[in-house]
Amino acid sequence: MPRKLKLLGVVIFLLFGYLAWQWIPMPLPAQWSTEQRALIDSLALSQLPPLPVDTGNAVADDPRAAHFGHQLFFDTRLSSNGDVSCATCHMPTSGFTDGRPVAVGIGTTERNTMPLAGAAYSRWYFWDGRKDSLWSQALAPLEDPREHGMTRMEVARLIGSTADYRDSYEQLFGELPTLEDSSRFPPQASPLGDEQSKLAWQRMDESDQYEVSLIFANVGKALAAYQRKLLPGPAAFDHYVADLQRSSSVTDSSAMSRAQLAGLKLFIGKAQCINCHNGPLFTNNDFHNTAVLSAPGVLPAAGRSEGLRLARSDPFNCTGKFSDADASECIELEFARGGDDMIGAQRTGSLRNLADTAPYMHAGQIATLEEVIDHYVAADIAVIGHNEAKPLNLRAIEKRQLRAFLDALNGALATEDRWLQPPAR
Amino acid sequence: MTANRIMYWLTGLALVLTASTAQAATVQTQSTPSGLQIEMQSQLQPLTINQMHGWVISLTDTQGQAVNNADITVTGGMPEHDHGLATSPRITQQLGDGQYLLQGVRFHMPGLWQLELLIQVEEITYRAQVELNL
Repeated sequence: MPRKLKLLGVVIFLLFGYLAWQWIPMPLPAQWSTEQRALIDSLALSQLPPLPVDTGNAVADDPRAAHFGHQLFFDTRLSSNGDVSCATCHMPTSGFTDGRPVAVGIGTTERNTMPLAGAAYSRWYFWDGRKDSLWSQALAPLEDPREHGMTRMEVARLIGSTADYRDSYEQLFGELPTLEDSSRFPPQASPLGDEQSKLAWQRMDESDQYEVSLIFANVGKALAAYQRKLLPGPAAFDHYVADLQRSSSVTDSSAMSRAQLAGLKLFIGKAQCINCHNGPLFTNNDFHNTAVLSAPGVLPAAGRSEGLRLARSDPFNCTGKFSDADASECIELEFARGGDDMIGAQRTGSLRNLADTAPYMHAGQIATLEEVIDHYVAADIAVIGHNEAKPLNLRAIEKRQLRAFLDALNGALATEDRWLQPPAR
Repeated sequence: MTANRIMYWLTGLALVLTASTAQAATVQTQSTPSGLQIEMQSQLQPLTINQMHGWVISLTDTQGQAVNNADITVTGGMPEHDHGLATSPRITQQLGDGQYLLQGVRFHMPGLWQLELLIQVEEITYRAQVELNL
């Protein structure tokens, strides 16, 4: 045999060997090990505890507050141009996100819209955790000039001037103060608004400022009561875990494909996803730097180190005068960790219903789940802070299996349909 | 006894062993320099991730006497991931009899955690470390 032909044979053999190594799946185990089984069970939606009590929000579980919040959530009058409601970016038809890299309200923001299903389980809000409650979170977009562009005075006025809202408000929070005296209550005023609004705010009496901020805070509490209704429902993975109770064989259930099962094995093992994406919501709701690059032309985000600083100085935090919590109950804020260690750390997102929430990461920098997996496989050096993740040695077929598993986490919300539609007016 | 029954008991035994090793809620160690015996007992039983909880730290000297009025600082993290604790725990109360209440601990990832204790007793600074596998 000529030498060239021999060489070609070796090259072809090596090529096929490489391709086989990359693409031939490993056999699945017959049974999950005890440790694997415990991890799998820990991820099931059936393990989700009841909604945590929000001690800062006395109306969190009042049905009247949820009804009021539902109306507010879909109301575009809560914006300076009359076009933006919470539902503009938190669209119920898209997993309460908007399909954009970064949210667009009155203007364009810097952050990807976060989904809302199960949000009430988090201890912190926004990507950097600059809010420590769902009700307090709901306030920030209202006064952000790029989102709703309102001032809190205008929010208070809308409640007072809309008969339904006034009734709902007074049933929950007591009598609304009259805001008719324009010498005390100017048309627009906020400590966070444009220069004119800020000046108007500074000229107000402290007691009048308090009255307006209290109405504003209560609007947030009603919005939070509504959002507590938004909960994830069982997905194929949860049906699989339920089937495991009846038969411990890995492949007896038809709820997940073999590729998805292999992906699950990687998820709780070699790929280490479960390190941060743990618990029934597939998130620890904590903060990690995983070296996600900032959007092109944007400086890297300080993340949690800045977020905690903001949360601590927020007048609407757990210890503030608008919170219904006793200061001793604010243990998350008291023992939170910030500082330089948390530079570049963003909050772990839930992996449930990812099909609805592309693109991904804090500024929507990564368009597809395949690319997200590639990001974690590479685990490059972080531009700021340090990457907690280490490179993963995943074969091509394993990346595909992991991707397939993520599809097993999509399921309809466990929320009554009426909460997913705009309210009848 | 059938093979299935044996498997059943073995699985049960394995579960008990896993629970008692992986989630031991009481740990003991000694200081460097020597002189202190340290016991830490978690108030969260069983010890699990993602829950804020406290620990009672007990200090005794080489004669087994309780050590009071120590200044204890607790830091730590996950060596595998090169990051610190998820929270900033601190001693909030001296319970007497050499016991101290550490509050504000939450582990947010499964795996090996280290807690580093810096213990100041009068003029001497002791160090100690415990490892927890969650």
